[in-house]
Amino acid sequence: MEVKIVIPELDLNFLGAAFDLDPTSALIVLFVVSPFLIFILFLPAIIELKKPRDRGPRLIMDKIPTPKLSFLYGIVPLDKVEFEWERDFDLSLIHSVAAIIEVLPKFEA
Amino acid sequence: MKKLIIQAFKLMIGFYTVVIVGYLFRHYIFTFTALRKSDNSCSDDFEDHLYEPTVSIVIPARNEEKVIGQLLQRMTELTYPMEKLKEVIVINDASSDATGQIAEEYSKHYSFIRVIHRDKKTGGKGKPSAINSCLHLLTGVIVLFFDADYIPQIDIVEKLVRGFVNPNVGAIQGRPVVYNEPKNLVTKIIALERIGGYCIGQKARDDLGLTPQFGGTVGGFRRAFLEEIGSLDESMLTDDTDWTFLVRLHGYKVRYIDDAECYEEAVDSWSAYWKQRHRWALGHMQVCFKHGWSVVKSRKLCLKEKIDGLLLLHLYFLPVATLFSWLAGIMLVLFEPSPAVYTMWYFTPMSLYILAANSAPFFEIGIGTYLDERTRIQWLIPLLLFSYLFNILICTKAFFDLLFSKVLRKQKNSWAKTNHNGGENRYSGIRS
Repeated sequence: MEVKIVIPELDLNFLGAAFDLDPTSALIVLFVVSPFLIFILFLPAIIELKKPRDRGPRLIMDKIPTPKLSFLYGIVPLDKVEFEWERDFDLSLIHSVAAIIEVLPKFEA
Repeated sequence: MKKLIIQAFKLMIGFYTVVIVGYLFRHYIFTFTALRKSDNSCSDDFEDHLYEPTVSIVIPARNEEKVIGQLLQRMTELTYPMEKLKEVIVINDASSDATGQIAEEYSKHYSFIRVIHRDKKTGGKGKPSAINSCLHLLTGVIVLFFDADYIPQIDIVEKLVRGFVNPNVGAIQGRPVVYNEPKNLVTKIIALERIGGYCIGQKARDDLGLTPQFGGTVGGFRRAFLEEIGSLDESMLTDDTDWTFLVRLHGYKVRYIDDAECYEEAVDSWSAYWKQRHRWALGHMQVCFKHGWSVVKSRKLCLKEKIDGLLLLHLYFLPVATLFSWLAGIMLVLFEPSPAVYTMWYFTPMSLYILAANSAPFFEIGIGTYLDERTRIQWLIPLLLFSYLFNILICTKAFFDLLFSKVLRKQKNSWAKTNHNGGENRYSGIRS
């Protein structure tokens, strides 16, 4: 591998000056050592992302407010509810029970 | 000609060196100030004052049906004396979702909540325009602002208004805390940036007697100041930065209150991050053009405030300068490929970027997390390298967008919104 001379006045080359490397070593530095150093740089971040152990903000609200108005949960007031069971229910039974309840106060008198 | 071009590139790198060293000192001064003042807890000069002025709260909202309910619920739970809380005004700015209905329901149940509906003709022209529409309705001495996706602490009004005990204070800023931080990498990175920006930057500015930046939410103004300026400039994309400088240039102070925390939903995707930061960069540059010269010649600002003000105004130009200096370095090598001196010119901006533009803010954020007792999140700091590189692209695009909009005189006022989903995957509860 031809190593480019970038500082000719001093007769130095970029990698050679620093490490006195042959081309094979230079390749190892480029493709093994450098990625390893970058990996080491980001290793703590990778660990924290994989298994977060941060405890969160120093102060956090005691509870998240939840909207309390009924309509926000889709709760409809009772008088507007149309009961589906009314359709399949035998209303004559309710009428007879109502008739019995109606006469009860008369017995008491 | 070639010599002239080479000189221009050298000048560019020289200028970048001076600027970046200025910001380097600024970061270290802020960090060491915050560290030194960390013993005497936040805003301690406000502690002894019981100050309860009348307060109006303004909530501008556009298509916020997923989050407006939780904020209005929190408004009903505030511990500030009810007789002093004059009104909570929700501005439903031409929403196409149920924002208006939800606000109306609250308004029916709580008399202090009022809703202003703006239709598509009058509304939809941006946050400053929405706020302008309600200024004449405000009756409180102090006016506080909250964005719809924020959840304040129940005692936040007490904490914020105590800053106004000094009649010279015109604006106050609290601290936003990201509550959906656990969601993904983007929210974690934003949380780190927020810690550095508020726990160190804003706090140090306040401690040093400089001008903390008003963030447009979790804070407010003295109504007298709003009456003085009349209305907000609707052409500004970052109205908050515009207000900060307006307050200071009108002779009022801006204060920062670190323990007035409010929880915010950070954007959770890189595309939303790009959109938000692009708007910030563009708006900040707009404000720089608007107020830059006024800051220089103002008699109401002392020298240190002028220097800090100019550094703040030019903050979003720094990533652009970084990119230009890299290009200048490359061009110098191409023009004269071999001599050592040109290689040095090439490496100078790179080294400066690594040493000054990165290490100083990383140090600042590291100390911020330490002061915030968040030692574990420090492990994520190296990832900020990516967001900083991303910001170089964002700010450069904003720079050219601004230039073209100035040349073509194209400008349209509208809401630059980020979508909020009401906070899935978020923190809750008191930390042990």
